[in-house]
Amino acid sequence: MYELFQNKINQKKSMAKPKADGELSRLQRLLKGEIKRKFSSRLKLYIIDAGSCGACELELQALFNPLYDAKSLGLEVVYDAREAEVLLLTGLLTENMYPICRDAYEQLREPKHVITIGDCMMFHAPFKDNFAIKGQANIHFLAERHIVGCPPDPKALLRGILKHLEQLP
Amino acid sequence: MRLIARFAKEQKEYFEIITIYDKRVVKERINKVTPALLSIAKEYPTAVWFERKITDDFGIEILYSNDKRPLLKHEHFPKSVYPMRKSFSKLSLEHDGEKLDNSIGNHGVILGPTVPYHLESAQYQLFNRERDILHFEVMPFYKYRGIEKMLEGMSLEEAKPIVSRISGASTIAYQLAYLDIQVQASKKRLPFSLQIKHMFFLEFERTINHLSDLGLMCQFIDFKEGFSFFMKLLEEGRETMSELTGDRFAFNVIDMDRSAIDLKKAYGFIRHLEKELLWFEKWIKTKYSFWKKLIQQGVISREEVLELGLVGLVARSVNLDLDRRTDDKLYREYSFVLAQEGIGDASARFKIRLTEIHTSLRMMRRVLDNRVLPFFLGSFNDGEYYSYIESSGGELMMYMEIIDEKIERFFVRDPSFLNAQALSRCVKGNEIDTLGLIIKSIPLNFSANDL
Repeated sequence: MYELFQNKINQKKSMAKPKADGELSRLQRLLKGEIKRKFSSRLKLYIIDAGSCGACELELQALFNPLYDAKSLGLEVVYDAREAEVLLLTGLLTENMYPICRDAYEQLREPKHVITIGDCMMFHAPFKDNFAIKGQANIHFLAERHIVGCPPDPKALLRGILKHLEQLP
Repeated sequence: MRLIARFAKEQKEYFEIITIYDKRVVKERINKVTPALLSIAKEYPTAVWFERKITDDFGIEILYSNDKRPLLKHEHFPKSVYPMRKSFSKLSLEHDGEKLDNSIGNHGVILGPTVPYHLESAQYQLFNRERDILHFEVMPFYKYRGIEKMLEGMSLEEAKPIVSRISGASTIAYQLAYLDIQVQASKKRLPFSLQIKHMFFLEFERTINHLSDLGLMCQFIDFKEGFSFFMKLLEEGRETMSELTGDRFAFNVIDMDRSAIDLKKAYGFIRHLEKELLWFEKWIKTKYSFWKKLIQQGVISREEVLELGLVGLVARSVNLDLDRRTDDKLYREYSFVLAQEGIGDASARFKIRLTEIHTSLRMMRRVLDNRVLPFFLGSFNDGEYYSYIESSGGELMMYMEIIDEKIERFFVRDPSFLNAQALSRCVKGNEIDTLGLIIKSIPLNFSANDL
C-alpha cells in the first residue's frame, strides 16, 4: 500500500509540467494572444525540410514538448499546404526539394506567409554552393521573415513567429 | 561475410569499385569506355541501394540487377549528368525536361516528402489492401545536398564544419569518425583523456537520441504521458548539452581541447535521468495496455537481419552481438555491457533503448575527468582511411582518401542506409495505423542518409 502511494507521488513529480522561466512565459503569453486575435486560436504550420541536417526539425519538434507547449498556444502542424496559414522552410533548398517547395508555396492560401528558419536557408552555414543546391531561399520565395541560428533554439523560434504575427494587421 | 558499404571512385584510367565487408576490403577496376559492374545484390540484398547510387553517381551500368531505378536522382534531375565524375564541375544543373521515375508502379500510394512520421523530408511508396500493408518502400535522397562532391579538394580543416553538420541528430558520431580518420592520417594516437572525453559526449548523444525516439514511439501509440515524460527529459538533456558545450547540438565539441567537463552539471543530469528512468520502468512494467501496442509490431527475424546485414539496435533486437563498442578496448575498460533482446519487434527495440541509456549513463559517470593538457595532430599523411563508429543508430562507416592534405574522395555510410531497406520487411502484414510506430522504432536519419 505504501509502495503504491509512494509510486503515485513519484508519478506526480515525474509527470509535472516543467516550469517556464520569465522570458519564456512572456513569449508564450504574447504568442497565445496574437494567435487568438489573428487566427482564431489556431495557427496551422506547414513545415518543409528543404535539405537540412535535421537539427532545425528537432528544434521545431521540441516546440511541442511540455516545456514550450506550442500546442496549447495554438500552433499546429499540418501535412497539406492548402490547409496551412504559414509555410516554414528549413535547410539548404536543394534541387530535389525546390519543386516541392514551389508547389507548396503556390498552394498556400492568400495572404501567403513564409518564414525561413536557420542559417542554411540564407547560406550562412558552412556548406559550399554546388550543383545539388538551388541557392538562397529568399531569391526564390518571398519570405517575410527569417529566423537566424544554426539551429535557432525553441525560444528563438517562438520569438521569430511572434515577431511575424505582431507585424500582421 | 557482412556487407558494410560499396561505392565507386574515379581514377585517371579507370573507375575503382570499393566493397567493404566486415572481414576484408575488395577493390575492382572498371574500364571507363563501357563502365559496367556485376551486381552482388543476389548475395547481399542491401547492395541494391549502393549499386543504384553508383549508377547515379558515375553512370556505371549494373549487370544482372533486378532494380535499376535511380536512387539519388529525382524526377527533375538531368538523366545524363553523373555528378561524382571528375569531369563534372558545374555549379548548377540544366534540366533536360525528361522526368525520371523511381517508384515501383502506379498502384502504390506515394507518401511524402512531407510526412507525419517525422519532420525530415523523405518519400515512401505504400501498397495496401484496405488497412493491411502489402509492401512499403523508402524512396530516399530527397534532400540530396551533394556533400561527397562538395568536400572533394577541400583541406581537412575546411571540411570539418561541413562534416559536423551532415546530420543534426548524430553530429558527435560524425565528428568522431572524421577525427578518427585525421588521427590515422597523422600517424599519432589520441591521449587517453581525450578518448574518454569524446566517449562521454558520444554516449551523451546516444542518450539524447534514444530519449527522443522513445518519446515519439509513445506518441505513435497514443501514450501521451510517456511522450511528455521523455520529451521533458530530452529537453533537459539538450539544455545540459548546451551548458556543457555551449551548443544544444554540440557541433564543435570533438576537438583537441582537454579542458574538464563541468562535473557538477554533468553529474546532476546523470543522477536525475537515472532516477527518473528507474521510476518510469517500474511504472510501465505492469502497464499491459502499453506493451500490447508494441509487441509483435514491425517484427524482423534474425535470418532477415543477417541476410540484409542490418546494424545497430535492429540487429541487437534479434540477439546479434553487433556493436562496434564490444571490440573497443576503451569501452571494455569502462565496463560496457551489450544490450540485446530476442523478439525483433518494436517492444524489443524500445527495451534496448532503455537499457542502452542506463549503460551510457553508467559509463559517462565513470568518464568525468579533470586533466588539462594541450594536444595537436600535426600534418596528415596521404592514404585511404576507414573509420567505424557505433552511433546511436548503429555502425557508421566513413571513408576518406587524402592526397596533399586535401580530400580526394569522401564517402560515408550511415546505419540508415542499410536499416531503411529493412522497413519493407518490418511492416509487411502490419496495419497502416502502426506505420508511425514502426518507422520510429527503427532509427532512420534522412539527413545522414541523403548526403
